[in-house]
Amino acid sequence: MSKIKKYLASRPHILYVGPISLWTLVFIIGPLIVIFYYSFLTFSSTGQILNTFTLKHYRNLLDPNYFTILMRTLAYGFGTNMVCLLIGYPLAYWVVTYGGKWKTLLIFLIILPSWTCYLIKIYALQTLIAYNGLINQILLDLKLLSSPIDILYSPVAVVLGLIFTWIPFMILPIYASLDGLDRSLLEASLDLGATPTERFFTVTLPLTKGGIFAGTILVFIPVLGEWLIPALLGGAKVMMAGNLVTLHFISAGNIPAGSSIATVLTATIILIVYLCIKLGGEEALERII
Amino acid sequence: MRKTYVLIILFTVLGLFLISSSFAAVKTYEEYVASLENGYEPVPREVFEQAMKEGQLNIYDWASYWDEDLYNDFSKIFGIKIVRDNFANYEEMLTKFKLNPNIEYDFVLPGPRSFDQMKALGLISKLNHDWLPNVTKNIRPAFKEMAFDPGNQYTILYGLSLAGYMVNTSFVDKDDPRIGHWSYLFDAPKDLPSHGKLIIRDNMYSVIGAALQYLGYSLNSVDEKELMEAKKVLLKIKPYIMAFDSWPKRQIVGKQSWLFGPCSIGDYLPFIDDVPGLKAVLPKGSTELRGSCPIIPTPAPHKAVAHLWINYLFRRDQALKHAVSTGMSSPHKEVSQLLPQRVKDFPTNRATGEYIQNSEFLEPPSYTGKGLEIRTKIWEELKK
Repeated sequence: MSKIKKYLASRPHILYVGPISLWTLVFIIGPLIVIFYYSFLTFSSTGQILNTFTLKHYRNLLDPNYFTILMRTLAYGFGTNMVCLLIGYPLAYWVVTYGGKWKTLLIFLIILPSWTCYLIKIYALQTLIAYNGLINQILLDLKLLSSPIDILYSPVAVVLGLIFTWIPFMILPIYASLDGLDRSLLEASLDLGATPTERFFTVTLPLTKGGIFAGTILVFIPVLGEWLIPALLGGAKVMMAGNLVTLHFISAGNIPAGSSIATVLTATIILIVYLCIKLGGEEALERII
Repeated sequence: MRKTYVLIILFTVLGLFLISSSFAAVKTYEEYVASLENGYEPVPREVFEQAMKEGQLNIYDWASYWDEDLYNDFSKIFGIKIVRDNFANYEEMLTKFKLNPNIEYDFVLPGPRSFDQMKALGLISKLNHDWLPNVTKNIRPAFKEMAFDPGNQYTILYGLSLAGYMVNTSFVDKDDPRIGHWSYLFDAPKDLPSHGKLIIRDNMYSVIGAALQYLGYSLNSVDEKELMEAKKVLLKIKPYIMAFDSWPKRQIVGKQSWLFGPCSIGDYLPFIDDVPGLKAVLPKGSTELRGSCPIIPTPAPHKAVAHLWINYLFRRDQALKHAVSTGMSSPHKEVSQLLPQRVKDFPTNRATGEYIQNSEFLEPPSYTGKGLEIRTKIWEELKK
């Protein structure tokens, strides 16, 4: 016992980092390893999973249909990310610059929707954008439309749902980044003759890139794995990578095939996270945490 | 002081309620037999006594398949605790069992296809028919000896439903000669106003099967040429599909969808009267047969209770409630005479023996091996 105490005393980081590392290993790394293992198993003609190694599922991923779905997923992810950034950055900037004593309340109001159950939010949006939903009703009453427009069950509804769900996660890290800016640097740039626009693009924006990349990780990554929004708002006919995984896991019962798609998706996500942290620096990592 | 009195009263009422509930339950085999109405057969004594010892029933089935009173009444009569878990579709249920074959449910409700897959995986225990006297006495001859379970060794088909489609004739031409055939689902959408507001069921086996039957083929076909023809049919209506959804009740009742299929038309019986113009259509020729196959999984810890429950389901009153609420054809031989007229007139209950003979259950060739592979590819193409 005393040997163990001596050992731990000379290495205190084990006690601080050990539990978190164990948690990460068991609940994050472990399941990924299981999925990776399953992706090489054989799916028999009778529907059983056999412990026979095969690369068939990875070969099947070369199907052009899968490429279309992957490209769509990346496009939606990128599009959602850019719209969230274009809306989120000005909003965060306005709250930081003009929020004053209401800053905390304003940011709380932005976060509050994310406390609602995810499914309820999607159903609420479904009700808003349905053919005879609230948005169409208002536009018809204002005589801006002569007949309702089909928003629900379309790619537009999917992207709208993605933006609606994930925008708070773009705003928060950008807000934290802007709030943490050294004001003296901004004053110095004004003193040196920079216009407000020049100041924004040469000082503010580069200094908040950590927040932007953190927001990108928090938005882009979850969007890549989305399946519920395309299912409920897209009418299950706007297929993203997550729906493909669900199709193989649930409908076809082909867990190895679903695992191979999940593995490729995970590898893509890890690459994107790596690039974001490389470009965004330590601040990006700090803002995520 | 007042708070104390309020608490005392509350606890007393709660206590009395609990005591009265337990007093209502039968305690002995003699009480159980005496409580049964004429015509209901009791399970053997050893089953009853074992069930009382087991004391719990873990059910895994659809969320709103049975009448809620069924669970409450069973619990009250026998004092047995019921723990419920639900699945959203058979595939979810199957995946759960594939990933954890030792999961401890006592009563599960697969369909014929998922029953077959579970049986192949060794997940189902045999029924002891000596413990099911109500079943033996009351089962309709047509429900014995189903091809997927000869001798009813593992299950008894509880309710037969037929696939068709729902059409709201308030929005379409109700005299269209294609109504009554599969061609209405696969040819008509392009002619209907606003793309027909067509919703297709989110189930690849049923949808591809219906397209095959529309073409005059077997719904279980594994012929690549036939399946490619079915794929063409589906891709032709793809531009008119509003959504894929397995339970679009909200859209149908909200009049956002006027045509939905292929579906178990009996599922829509409970609210067909609430939607003016809504009509259930059984297509001529043949269709997909569906049903519920109650099973007791192999690792079930409360097998006696599970048999007691199945025996209870075959009581005439419970079977009648089920038939009225689901529109399914009942396995109980006395129920068809007791159905209300609107249920008797429902297409499922008016299908002839010949029609049912010509119709098919989903069989292994369609959901295993080459059949599954081709269907998955067609589904990916349809939804991409």
